Amino acid sequence: MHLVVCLKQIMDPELPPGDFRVDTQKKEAVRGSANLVISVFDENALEVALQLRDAAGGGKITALCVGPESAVDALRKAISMRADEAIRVREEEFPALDAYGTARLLAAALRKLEPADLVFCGREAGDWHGAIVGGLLAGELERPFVSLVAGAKRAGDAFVLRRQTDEGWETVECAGPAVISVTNDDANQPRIPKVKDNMMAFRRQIPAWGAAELGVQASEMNGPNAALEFASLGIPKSERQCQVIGGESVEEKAARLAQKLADLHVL
Amino acid sequence: MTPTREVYFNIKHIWVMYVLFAASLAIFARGWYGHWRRWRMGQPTERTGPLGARLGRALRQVFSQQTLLKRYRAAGIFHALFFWGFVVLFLATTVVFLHEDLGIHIMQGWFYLVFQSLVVDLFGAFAILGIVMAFGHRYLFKAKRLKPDTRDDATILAVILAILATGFVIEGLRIELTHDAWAAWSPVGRAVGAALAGGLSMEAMRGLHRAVWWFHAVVVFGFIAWMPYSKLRHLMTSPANIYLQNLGTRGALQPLDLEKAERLGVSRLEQFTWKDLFDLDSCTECGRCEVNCPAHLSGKPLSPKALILDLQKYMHGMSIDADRAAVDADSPSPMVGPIIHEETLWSCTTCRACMEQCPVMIEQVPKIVDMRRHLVMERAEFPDDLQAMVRSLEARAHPYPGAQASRTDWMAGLKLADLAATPDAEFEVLLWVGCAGALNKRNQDVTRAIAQVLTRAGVKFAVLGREEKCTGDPARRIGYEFLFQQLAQQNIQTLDRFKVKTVVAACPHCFHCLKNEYPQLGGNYTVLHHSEFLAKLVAEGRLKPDGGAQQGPVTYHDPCYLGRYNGVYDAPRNLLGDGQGAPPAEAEMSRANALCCGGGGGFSFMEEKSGTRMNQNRAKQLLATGAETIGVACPFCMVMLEDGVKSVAGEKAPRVLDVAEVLEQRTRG
Repeated sequence: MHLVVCLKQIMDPELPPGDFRVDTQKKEAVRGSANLVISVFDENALEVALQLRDAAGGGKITALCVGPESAVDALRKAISMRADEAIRVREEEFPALDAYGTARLLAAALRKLEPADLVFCGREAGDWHGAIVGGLLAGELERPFVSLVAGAKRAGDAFVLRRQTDEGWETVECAGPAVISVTNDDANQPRIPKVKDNMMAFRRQIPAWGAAELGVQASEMNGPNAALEFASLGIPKSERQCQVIGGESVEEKAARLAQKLADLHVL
Repeated sequence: MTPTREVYFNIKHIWVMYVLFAASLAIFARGWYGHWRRWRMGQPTERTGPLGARLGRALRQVFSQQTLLKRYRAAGIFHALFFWGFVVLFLATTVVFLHEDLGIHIMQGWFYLVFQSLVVDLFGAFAILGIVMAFGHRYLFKAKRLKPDTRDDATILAVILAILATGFVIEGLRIELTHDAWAAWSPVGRAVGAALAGGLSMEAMRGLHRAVWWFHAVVVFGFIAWMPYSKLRHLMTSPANIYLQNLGTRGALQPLDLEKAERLGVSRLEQFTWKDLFDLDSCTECGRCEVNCPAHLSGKPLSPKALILDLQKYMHGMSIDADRAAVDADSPSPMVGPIIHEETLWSCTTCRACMEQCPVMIEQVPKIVDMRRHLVMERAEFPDDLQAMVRSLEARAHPYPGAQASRTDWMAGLKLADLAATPDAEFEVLLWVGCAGALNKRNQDVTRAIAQVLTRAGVKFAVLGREEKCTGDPARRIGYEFLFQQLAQQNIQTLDRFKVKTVVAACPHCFHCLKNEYPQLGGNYTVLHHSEFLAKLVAEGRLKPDGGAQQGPVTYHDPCYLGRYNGVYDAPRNLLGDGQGAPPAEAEMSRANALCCGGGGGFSFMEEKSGTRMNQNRAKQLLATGAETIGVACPFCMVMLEDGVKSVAGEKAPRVLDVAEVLEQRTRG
């Protein structure tokens, strides 16, 4: 059983709000003193894969990341949590990547890897919250896609996937190979690595694949999104205003409140 | 006629005594040999030298009985009575041995009268008095710390009493039978003899003397033989353990060489050092550790006494012939889990009250941390709350998951030299803010007060701002040595880069770590706690505080890592003022005996899942002083006690202020 977990390295989402800056010219977040971490749901995805492998008593997990040089740290973290292999795809060779491009690039890397039985993505990235790479990747690979999975089990050759829905839980059975996106749950809190594993991971060389290794052209990776343009990027300002609603009776106050809310279009 | 006495008066077949004595020595030696082999299972550590320094210190501490007399004085006094009684009686027996068996005739003349008769007689009586008091203490007043009573406890007291009492009976009868001319030199023995002589014929006395003499001999030999097999072993191991005490920096945990260590932490008994194993056999079961343990007092599943005794029992039950080298390193630990439960290890606040109290210097906290190291680093098993803390430390170098503040928020409105922003700023001392002082809202006020007071005193100081990281203390105390060393090395690099010489730390945990543990990793700085530094500024006249009338009656809570760990008790008290010039009221349990607020050893980041709340227990003691202001000197104590006094006293709760905040108010004028 080969499980591939796609990871993204992002700016620490727990950066204190006061420290968060954006460059309105470049239309990107300024890293400043922020740390880089594995995107939260991707870590949950890795945990689901680890649990699946451990319960099955064997199998291989490969962590795959499209990212810059710094992403090696994210992959080492995955290794320390006991992923077996890790591959970085050199993002620096593909300057105009969008979600489509990322999905294409991941698909190219997956084709080069030993065939995967299940491909894991996080529900959405913790920075831009696009939530589409998983689905696009399934499309690229022409494989079924199961979203919002919280836990996975092996049943013969198939996988039993526990899905979160608006109403509750859904259990689906799916034959591999397939692509799933993982949501967070108490049962898939990412583990803390053992120190020995941490130290071994620290010394681990992480192979990096570029356009040449993948046999693709950088220009092929520009998806239709490349035609989109960010109009602007800014930090929303939150302001508080306090109004006291007066009135003779409770009914009158309630009516005025309702009117006010209607005027504000929140009712 | 030279004063002396016949040693074996009225006794025949004396060879029988030598045979019994030899047998008892053989059993004694066999018992100790077994112990010795068990201790040798432990890992090497250097605790024997330098001989002179250790011996001098140990003799002083043992013979003065100072650790026992310091606290629980009644018990200290009776222990000292029978300790000294036994020392004198042992010397008297040695005199007999020299005189009778080696033919060195010293048991005569004035020495016989003064020492062998009078002194021995009196000390024997003291010892009896001590034993009677011990009986009363254990069975009449039922001292809580001595629970549970075992059969051994009663037997030991009875045996000692029997030895002493029969000694006087033998002496008294001999005096009567021989019409001893020097009887006046043995007042207690003479009185016993006179009492017995009243109702007995000479023949009966002769028979009784012989019978009691043999009974006495048999009980003494039994006592000797039994020593290594019972709590009595402490007669030898406790003084030895005091000799073997840690002479290194108090409270500094031993670093691990993470690159070379084959295993991290301790999961099996033989992975402890031989000194750790020796500790287990030194315990006298006195329970001082237990009744001062904040975890035990709040009903958590930890008693330092039970921890040591459980390990001791486990060690004694071990087969030492087994081939331990063949044990698979990955096999589940037979000790951490089955013998010492995980919840026990996670109940310790590392407050060091047990170690402070232990009269025989057993080291409980390092053992707990060693086992935590195994859980955290080898098994990666720790409570959920701590996982969140660890993740935060790893990703953000502070232990507060979800913190909204940044490290520089508290500086708003203050003009400070922030080395992260202005690396070339000149400064004399570095103010080490600490994560709590920077990120916890209440403690930000304390940090601001410290900065204001330093500015008022004209101190040229700087802060590291965003360059400061957690010292690693919470990681180290929960056993995550790896993370501690990572953080410490980063901080040492930063401190060295800015050529920092003097650090004033606003948190006792940071203070202890920077001062006593960073040198292990090559970081050497002059480190002061803010209370010490501020008290110095006051003493030098650079700050002139008013009386502090607005505080009202004050009390002070000693933080463990400032008091017990580092002996700083007076500086913070000196910063408090109540307007009347009176010293702060002392709560029940203060200074070295202070009860932990429950915030150390990772507990500030953990929910207490069992028992009562440690912070409320401490708050009750502080509230009982009637103070209107409770002075603290630690950000964890601040949070724990503010919460504690509010939940106990509600709206009428007194203020909890850091001593720096009090000083800030007192220097506004």
